Amino acid sequence: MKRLATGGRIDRSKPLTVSFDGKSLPALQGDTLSAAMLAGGVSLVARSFKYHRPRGVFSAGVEEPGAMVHLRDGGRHEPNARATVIEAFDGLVSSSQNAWPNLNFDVGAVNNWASPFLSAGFYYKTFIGPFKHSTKFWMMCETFIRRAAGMGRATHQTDPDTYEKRNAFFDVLVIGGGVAGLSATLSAGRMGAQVMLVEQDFDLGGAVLSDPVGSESESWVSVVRDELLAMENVRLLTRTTAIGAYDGDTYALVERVSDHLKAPQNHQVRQRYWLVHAKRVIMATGAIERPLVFGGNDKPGVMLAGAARSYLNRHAILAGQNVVVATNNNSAYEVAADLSQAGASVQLVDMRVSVADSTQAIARAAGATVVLGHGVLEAKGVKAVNRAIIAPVDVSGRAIGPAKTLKTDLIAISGGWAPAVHLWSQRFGKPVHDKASAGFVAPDNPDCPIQAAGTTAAAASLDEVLTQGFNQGVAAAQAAGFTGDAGEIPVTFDTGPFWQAGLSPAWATFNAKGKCQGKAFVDFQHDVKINDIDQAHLEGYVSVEHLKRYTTLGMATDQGKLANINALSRMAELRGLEIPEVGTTTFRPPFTPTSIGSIVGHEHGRHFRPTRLSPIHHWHVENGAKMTEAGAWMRPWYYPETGEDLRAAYVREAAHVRGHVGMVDVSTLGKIAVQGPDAAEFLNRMYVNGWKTLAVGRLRYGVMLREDGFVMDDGATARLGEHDYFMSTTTVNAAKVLALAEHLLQTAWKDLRVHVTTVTDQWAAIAVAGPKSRALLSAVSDADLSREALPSNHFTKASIGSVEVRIHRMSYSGELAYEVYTPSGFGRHVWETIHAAGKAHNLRPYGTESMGALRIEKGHVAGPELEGRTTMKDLGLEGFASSKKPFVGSVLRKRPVLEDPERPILVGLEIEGEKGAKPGSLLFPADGEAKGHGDGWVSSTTWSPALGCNIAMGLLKNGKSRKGETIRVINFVGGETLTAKVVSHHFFDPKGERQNA
Amino acid sequence: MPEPLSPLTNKTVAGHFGAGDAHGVTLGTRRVSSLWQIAGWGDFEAVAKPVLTSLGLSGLGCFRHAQQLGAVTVWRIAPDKILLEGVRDLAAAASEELMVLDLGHTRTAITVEGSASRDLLAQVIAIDTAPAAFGPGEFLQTGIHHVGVLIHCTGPDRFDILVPCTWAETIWEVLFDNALPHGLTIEEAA
Repeated sequence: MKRLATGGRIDRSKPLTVSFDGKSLPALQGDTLSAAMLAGGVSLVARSFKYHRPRGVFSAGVEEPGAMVHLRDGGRHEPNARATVIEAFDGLVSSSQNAWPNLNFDVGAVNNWASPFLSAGFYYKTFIGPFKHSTKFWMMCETFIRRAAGMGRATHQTDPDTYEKRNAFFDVLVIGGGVAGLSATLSAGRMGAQVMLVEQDFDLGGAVLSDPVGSESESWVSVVRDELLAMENVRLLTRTTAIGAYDGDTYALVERVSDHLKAPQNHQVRQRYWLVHAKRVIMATGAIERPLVFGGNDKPGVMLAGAARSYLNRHAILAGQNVVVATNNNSAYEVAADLSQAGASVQLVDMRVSVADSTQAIARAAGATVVLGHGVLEAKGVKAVNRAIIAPVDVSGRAIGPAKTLKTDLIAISGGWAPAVHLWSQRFGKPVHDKASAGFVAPDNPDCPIQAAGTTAAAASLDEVLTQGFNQGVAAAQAAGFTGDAGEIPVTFDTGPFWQAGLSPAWATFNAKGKCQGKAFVDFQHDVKINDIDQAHLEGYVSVEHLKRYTTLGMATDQGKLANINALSRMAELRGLEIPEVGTTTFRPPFTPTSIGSIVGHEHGRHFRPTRLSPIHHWHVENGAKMTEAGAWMRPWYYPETGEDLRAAYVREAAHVRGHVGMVDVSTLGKIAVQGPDAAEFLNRMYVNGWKTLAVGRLRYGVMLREDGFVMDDGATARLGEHDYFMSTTTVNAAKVLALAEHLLQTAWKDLRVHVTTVTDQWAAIAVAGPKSRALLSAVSDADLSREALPSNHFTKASIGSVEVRIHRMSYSGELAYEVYTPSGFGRHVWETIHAAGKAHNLRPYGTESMGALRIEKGHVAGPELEGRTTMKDLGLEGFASSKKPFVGSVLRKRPVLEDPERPILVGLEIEGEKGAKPGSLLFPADGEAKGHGDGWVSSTTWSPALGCNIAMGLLKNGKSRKGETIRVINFVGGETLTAKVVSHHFFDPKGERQNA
Repeated sequence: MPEPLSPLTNKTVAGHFGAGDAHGVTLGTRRVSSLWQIAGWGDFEAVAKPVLTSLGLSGLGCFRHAQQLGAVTVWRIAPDKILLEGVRDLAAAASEELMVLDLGHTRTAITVEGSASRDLLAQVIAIDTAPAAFGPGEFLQTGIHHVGVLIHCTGPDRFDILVPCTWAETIWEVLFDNALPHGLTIEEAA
């Protein structure tokens, strides 16, 4: 391996600092990491997945199965990076993976010798089989297998880079910037369509970039690129891979914005995930060269022929001095010619006995030797190839004569090419077999939104590639509604032969006994040998889908790119079928490995989900509140005073409310304006209780069910005017209730003239609770809040701090309490006004924890009880249900299973001892075995300042008749058993004297 | 009467952020004052028209184009619902056939301006933001970060995003972070 003094699309004036396993590599601007490795004489790059066999650079593109490395370090560390697609940059640090203690001496290589025991399906046979009716052996082995599994190791450090998502809309999306893609973009662009062209390489040209510098093809690309750059309706995106094709004509692309840099510069993102919506797509994704199968075909020094040509003409690297080019098709002749002209000694070994003189002349004229009717039987060498055993072969690849040995340091192989139809397959299923090219292509269907062009459609000459691309561009633009003039097709140019003409069906070389000599790999990435396919066949695997999963063939990053055709060929031979009869697998996204970061974009950390803030939020934060999440909301949890923890703070706050007065921000309650002449009827149907008699100025508590009869939500609704109601819901269920209401009004209840509109954002709400609440609000507002003027379940309009507010008389805490509703823009002002006035009344703010303690003391149900599995009867709310009208859930709540008298019902629990119960603890009788789900569970729990003990609410089987019984409260997770006395859940002021004061 | 507090008071810290040499996006805020919703059923046009006529507007408008006259902007957000900004108290227009709702405190406007403003929008909404698809005067209702918003194109590269007040900070932060690569300028709060 050496870098040539001339040639290549590299900038020799820009050397780069690149390293692999601490060794400095002579990289130049324009190199990939794999090119830099080859230039630096690195042949051993990695160890294989299962057998830890030495692997080198096998390809020059996304299909690379072996040269996978650790890239970068720190938070930017990336495992399993394919060296063939990593652009070299100054400061690039890479290291080997899947090897211990080092790449040269890898203990895991012992697997290679144990390979007879590690064949297809060995996990299932070895680790599960030994002991029937037990998985213990497997569980023991799993630990070790998991440790050995995988290749590279990911980092636990935080990724310091940012990623972004972007949507784009185009008439035509062209995927692939080779000749076909450029031609298609040209014609569609000339016709006026909005066109996006994406190319995964950093330069346009596709296969042309592997032609010698200065060739005709280079100037062709240059002219076309210039014309495209001048078009305002054409967008060219390089370093961008189309990874997925999805329904709705949506395509996912990943743009590697900063991957060619040591770190993103100037606040740019590392990668950008594009979601492109395109009316038509031209898939000009080219073809992937197929390997030949023979013993040792995975050793460093065996390389795809096209890759050897790419490294030569693009990077000026001669990958071997004594080269054997092994092929079954014409496309390798140009490779042999280029390598020979570059100074290598080249022997072209062709499995075919008859090849056109003109084709042979391409190689011979450059100085290469052509050996027909021969195949490579085995590659020899320990960590790199040093010999090739070749033998004369018949049409099936079986040796028919004596073998001979060739000294070589590079075996360049070509078994034909496979059109890259992955994206089409992702959307439309299995591609069809094309006999002429011996590959799979998308079926011909002009109405399909994805059309293939060029070698993706198995075009057999450059002229065909160019014409096909251009015409597909015209067709796509026309399908998108454009009728402009596409102009002339650009002139074509000469290129080497394609693979189709005279292609031999032979894909592997066997010895005289019909066996591959040594380990012959079909899937290089997952170490699947031809023997594994044979074994799977012997074990009865006839479906290609089963074969794939049993052998793991075509998995990981390969995704069938290299392994597919050869595996299908073998299966067809074994089953005595043709390849189309065997079928193929369906390709799945992503086409290439995709960073999780790009898929996530900004939606992590503080953007993991949206956060909702009360209009008074910043007051809470500024005044020392500890905040907690409540659904999407942030709410004040508690306001600690010096030295207080949560327990001390909430107990103090709750006790303060009972003794004095407290205020809590309840702006998070769902608020829905219900308007219209049929609003009362709407409420009648939504809630279980009746609404037609509710007078203006009054409010009423209501319960609503789901269609299936379970309780969905509860809340109070006020009648503001003749046709105006103000519904409140729980914080958590606000969106659900609104969505149900909208749904019913637009479908089942179109007869009702009602509009529902969320007004949660319109109103801030402040609950003022405690025996001094009336005195405080009377002082701070102009309202008459006397018991006579404003009884429970009434509201009045008032002014606080010059702001018009509405004061509702209702209580959640069991204390005399009011809810003050103010336009949200004035929320903080009103809160501060009440807070300031409250000093004279010993007012304290309180948070959600003490609010919860107060409501448990009072026995009100909330989220833990309204959890979707409870009925009105379970919760003691059945008295609210009207028997005179239907309502949502009124029929299904009567199902026998919901009427079962043994259903757990709501009870109170007085916990004995100092420790409180954990929510979710199970309830068992005082005696007997504690097994199964018990008689019920704890839903809510708190220390009760009013009662001076721990209390809880729970649902208990036959709870009504068990009052006074002592039961066990068992927390199996925490290993804790408590005892509790079953009591009424109305722990505090059951007659409601305090709230009705 | 005090001034209503903007939900973005804590966010609008003037300055330049992100890409140092670029000024692609300017974010700012605008108070949405006097926002009303009118809604009806059946012959909504007949009952809504007098309200619109009194504002100098001719018809209900369409679902993509806002109507603007002076300080009044009208968005038809559903077949039988219209949002009106900058209007007087419409409570008196309420009838059995026309529901009127004061939404003056529900939303605030985030203004987005600059050469990269359309790119920024393309990063946060799955709707075509190209000038040909979303030009001045047009509006759309969509979601940013799972929150329902109304985006009004008020100039060639200028947009008002009406966001619910309780979600305003989270939307602002999403826009802020997405705008950094473009070079972000924050305007002094209006």
